[in-house]
Amino acid sequence: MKFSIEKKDLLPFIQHLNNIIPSKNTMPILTNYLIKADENENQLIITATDLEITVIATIKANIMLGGKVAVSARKLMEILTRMPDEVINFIYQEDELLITSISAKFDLLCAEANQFPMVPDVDLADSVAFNAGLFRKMISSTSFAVSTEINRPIFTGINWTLDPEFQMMAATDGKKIAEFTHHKPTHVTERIDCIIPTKGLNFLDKVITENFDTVNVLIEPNRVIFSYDSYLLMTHVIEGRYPDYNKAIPKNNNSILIVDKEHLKQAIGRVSLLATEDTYKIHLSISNNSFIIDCVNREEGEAREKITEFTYDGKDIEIAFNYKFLLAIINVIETPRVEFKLGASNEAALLFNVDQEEDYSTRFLLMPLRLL
Amino acid sequence: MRKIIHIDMDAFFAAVEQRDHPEYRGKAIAVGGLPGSRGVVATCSYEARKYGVHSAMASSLAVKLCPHLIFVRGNYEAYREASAIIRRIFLEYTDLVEPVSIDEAYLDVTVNKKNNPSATRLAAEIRQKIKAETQLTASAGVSYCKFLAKIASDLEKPDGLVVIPPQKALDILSKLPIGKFHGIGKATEEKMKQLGINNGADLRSWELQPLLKRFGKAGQYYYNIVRGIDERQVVTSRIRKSISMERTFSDDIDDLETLKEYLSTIAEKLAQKMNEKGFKALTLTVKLKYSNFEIVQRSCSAKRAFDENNIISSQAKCLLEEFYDRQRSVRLVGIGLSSLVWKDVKISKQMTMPFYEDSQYIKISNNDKIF
Repeated sequence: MKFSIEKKDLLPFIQHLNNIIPSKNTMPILTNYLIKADENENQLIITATDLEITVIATIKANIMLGGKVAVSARKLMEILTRMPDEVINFIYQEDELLITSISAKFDLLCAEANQFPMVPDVDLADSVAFNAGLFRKMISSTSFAVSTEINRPIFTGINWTLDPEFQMMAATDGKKIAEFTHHKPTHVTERIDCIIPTKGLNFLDKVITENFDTVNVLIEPNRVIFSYDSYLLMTHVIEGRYPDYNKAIPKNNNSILIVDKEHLKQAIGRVSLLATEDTYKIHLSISNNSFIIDCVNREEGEAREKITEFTYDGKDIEIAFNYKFLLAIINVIETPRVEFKLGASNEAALLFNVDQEEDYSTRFLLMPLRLL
Repeated sequence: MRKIIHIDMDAFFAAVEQRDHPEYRGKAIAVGGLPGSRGVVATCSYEARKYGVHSAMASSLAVKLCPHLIFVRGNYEAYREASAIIRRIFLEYTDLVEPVSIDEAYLDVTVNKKNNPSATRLAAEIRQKIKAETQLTASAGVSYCKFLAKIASDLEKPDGLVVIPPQKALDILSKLPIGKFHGIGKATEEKMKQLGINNGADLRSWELQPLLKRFGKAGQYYYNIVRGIDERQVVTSRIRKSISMERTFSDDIDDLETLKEYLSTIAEKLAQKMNEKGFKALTLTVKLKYSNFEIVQRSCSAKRAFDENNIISSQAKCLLEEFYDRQRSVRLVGIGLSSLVWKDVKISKQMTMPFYEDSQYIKISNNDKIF
C-alpha cells in the first residue's frame, strides 16, 4: 500500500474519527483505524468503531498502490498533528507503516488489519433526506438532557420520532426534559420511533457544517445509518419504548416570567460562584415587582443579585434550581428573552423561547430542588 | 492569648483577570456589568481605584470617573479555582479556618500544624505560598482577635502584612477613621460623625450607657471593639455531628404507649437544645436497649428537616412502632439527631420525575450482558 495526501486534507477527519475510538480498551484492535487505500477510485476509506457505532470516512488521496492497514488511532493523530503542513507519504510494507514528510520519518508497527471487525455493507438506496442544519439544531437542543446513568439505558439516548407530518427529538434524565419539534411534513410514510445513543448524534453535531445541507438517513430495525458529506455513520438503536414523559409536564403552570437571556445568564454566573458542589443550588424569589437570585453557602458566604428588567405575572414564588441544569437549558434558548412558566416551589418549571417565529418549536422542563 | 490571621485577596476578580490576560496588566479594569446594562462593578483593579472606582459602584458612574476603564465579563470558574487553591493552603496550617467569602478568611493559628509560635511568620509564609501557587497577592493581618486582624489586613493593602500586637492595638484604633471600623457601615458612620465621633479615640471617650442609648445593642459592640475586645471565635464549617439524648428507666418498660410518652419528653428537650444551638437535623435515629442489654436502633432521613418538637416526636414514635419488639421489655430509650446543619441554611434535594424511577427502565447490571 502506498499513498500520499496533504496534511490539511487528512487531519480533520482523523480528529473527528478519534471521538469514536473507545476509551475503555476492551478489544485492543478497536484502538486502531482501519485504513483502506482504493487504487481504482483514488480514495482512502478510514473506519473507526466501538462496535456500537461505526464511522467510515471516504477521502480523496493520491493512491499509488492499494491495500489496507490497521494503525493506532492515537499515534496517527499525534503524528499528523505535529507534522509540517505539507504532503505526507504513507507506505505499508512488512507490518510497518512508514509515514514521511520532507524532513520527518516514522516507522509504525501495525496490528493485523484482518483482525479489524467486519463492517457490513450498506445500501443507501432507500435512505431519506433531511436538512442537515435542522438535524444538527435538533441534536444540540436536546442532547444535553440525556442521562449518563448506564443502568437506565433508555434514557442515555435521544428519542427521535419521525412522522409523515412532523418530526421530534426528545431527551430526559428525569431531572430535565428537552424537546424539539419540527412542524413540517417529512419524507417518511409511516411513524417511526427510535432511541439513538448520543455518542453517534454528537458526532454528527460536530461534523455537520454549512458546506453540505443534506444528511441521508436509513432506519433499519436494529440500526440507523447516516450519510453526510464524506462520512457514513452506523449506530445501534437502544431497545425499548421511550417513556411517556408528557405526564410529568405540568398543565397548570400559570405564573409567567419573561426575562432577558443574557442578563439572566450573567446573574446566574455570578451568584452561582457561591453555590455548593453537592446540589449546585441557586434560589430564585420572584414576585410582580421583584426578582432576586441568591445563594447561601455556609462555608464561603452569600451571593445575591437583583434582576431589574423582567416581567412577571403570577403568584409570589420561591424556587431553587441546580444552576448547571438551568444554564444548560438557557444556553439552548435561541431568542433574546426566555419565558418561564412556573407552578409551585416543588413543581417542574417550563422554559420556552419568546416570540419565535420558526417552523419548529422547543420546550424544556426543569425539576427544582425541594427545600427540606 | 489567641493568634488570628485574616487573609484578604487583593482585588481578587480583577487580579485573576490581569493574571490570565497580560493585556489587562497595568490597566484600569473592572469585572462586572457593562456600563450600558445598569450593571455594577464587582471588583476593579488598583489602577481603577485611583480614579475613585470601587466595588458595588454603578458601572455607568465608573466609566464617568475613569473613561478608559476596561470592562471584563467575569470568568467565574477561574475565580472558584483560585479560591479552592487558597483554601487548601490555609488547611495546611490549621483546620480552624473561617471562610468569609470567596477571597477572604480568618485562621486561628494559636495552635497550628507547623508548630510555629510566630503567627507573623506563618502569615508571611501563607502569603508567599498563595503568590507562588496562584500568582495572586493577598494581604494579611495578624492580631489576637478577629476584629483587629481584619483591621490589620486592610492597613497596607495591597500585598501587605501588618501585625497588631496588644500593646499597639489602642494606638492604632485611636487614629483609625470611624468609617474604617469593620461593622460600622455608611449610615452609622454618618450618625457618629454628627455626634463628633470621627476616629477611634473619639469613640473611646464615650461611656457604654450613652452608646447603648444611641445605637441599641450594637453600642456594646462598638464599646468593645474600640477597646480591642472581640471574643468572637473562628468558626469553621465543621460543626458537631450529632446531638442525642437518652433515658434509662429504673424499672424496665414493656408498654408501647409508655415508651412513646418518654420519646415525646426526649423530643421536646432535644428540640429545645437544637434551637439553642441553632441546628436542624436531616437524620433521626431511635435507640432501644432491651432488658438483656441488647441495643437496637433504626434511622430515617428527613423529607422535611427535623427541627420542631412535634416533627421529631412524631417521626421517633413512627420508627419505634416499626421496630420495637412488643414481647420484650426495655431499659433505655433514646433519640439521636445527626447530619446537623444551621437552622437558617436551606437544605435541598434535586427532585426527579416519577417515571425515571420506574423499575421497567432500570437495567440490573448483569455480567453476561455487555451494554
